[in-house]
Amino acid sequence: MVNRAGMAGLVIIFLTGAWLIAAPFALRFQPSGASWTGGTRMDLAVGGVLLVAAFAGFFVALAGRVRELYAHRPD
Amino acid sequence: MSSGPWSCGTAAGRYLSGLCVSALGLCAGGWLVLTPFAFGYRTRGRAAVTDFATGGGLVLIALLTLGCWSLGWRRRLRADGVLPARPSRRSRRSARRQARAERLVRATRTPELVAAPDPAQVLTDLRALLTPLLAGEDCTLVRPVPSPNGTSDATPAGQQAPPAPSASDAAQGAAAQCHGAAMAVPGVAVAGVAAADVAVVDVAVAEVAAGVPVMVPAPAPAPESAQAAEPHGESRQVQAPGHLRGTRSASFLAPAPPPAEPLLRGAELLMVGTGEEEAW
Repeated sequence: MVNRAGMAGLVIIFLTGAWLIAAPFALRFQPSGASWTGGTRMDLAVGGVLLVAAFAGFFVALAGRVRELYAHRPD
Repeated sequence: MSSGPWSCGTAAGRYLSGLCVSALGLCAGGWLVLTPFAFGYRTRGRAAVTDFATGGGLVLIALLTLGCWSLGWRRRLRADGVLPARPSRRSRRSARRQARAERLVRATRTPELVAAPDPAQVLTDLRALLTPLLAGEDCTLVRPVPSPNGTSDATPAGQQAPPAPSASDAAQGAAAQCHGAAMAVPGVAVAGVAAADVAVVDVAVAEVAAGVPVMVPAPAPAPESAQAAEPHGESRQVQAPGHLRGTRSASFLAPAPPPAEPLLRGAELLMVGTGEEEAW
């Protein structure tokens, strides 16, 4: 239960990073064709870091869980 | 691949990755909350609101995720024996109850040990207590047997019934010569409790040696036909429960004599036993 909640938290963090990348263009506070503002760059950077980190963390945790299942499988 | 340390390291990496990502999300959320103030675009409307909202939500989510991974890793360490197992609430409660019970037992046991009575005194008190009870039991063990004239007669142990003319005068004489605890009298013969066994054995030995059939039991509620069949004045003995019968004791003490065979004829069936059996 706790592990599943942790995995769900990683997924939410991943989605938050994706939202941070898409928010300036979705909410149109970054005009299209214009140079990127400071806020847009910051959101894209933070969103990208969160996206990659959450993606990597999620699959590392998933791999660890799969290894545990293999280790405890009946012979 | 499935070895213990390897598995433990994998679990640690798994939990560590979750913790690291959660910590990174926490830092990113805080940074998103502070960014509008840091870069001076908090007055630009949508971008500032988006960063505040996203940063606040990310902080909450990251805190929850961090707590979940920390708790999961802690449980795993307890399960692996790295951390000492914490007793559950139920086990703590049971331990408290057991300790309370032990205290009560100790508190009740200590005065007994301090005031342990003298065994000799205990035996003396027990003897003083049981002696009247045994004396009362002597009276209750007397089983009245209707006499040939129809009246119920009972003689307590230790008292000699008045002699009456009968065919077993020799046996009565032998019984009178003995300890006086077991009497063979017409109608009633009572065996005492204290020395009755020895007395009955002695009487039986004497009787068997003399060939006199005196240990003939009589039925408690004597039927009319049996009373009619039995001659008047025949010697009977009432056996109290738990008492030894003379002939059986004699059979134990001496070889069974040939004259014992006629004793088992007809209505004079002799049931021998330890007292649970009824004689009729």
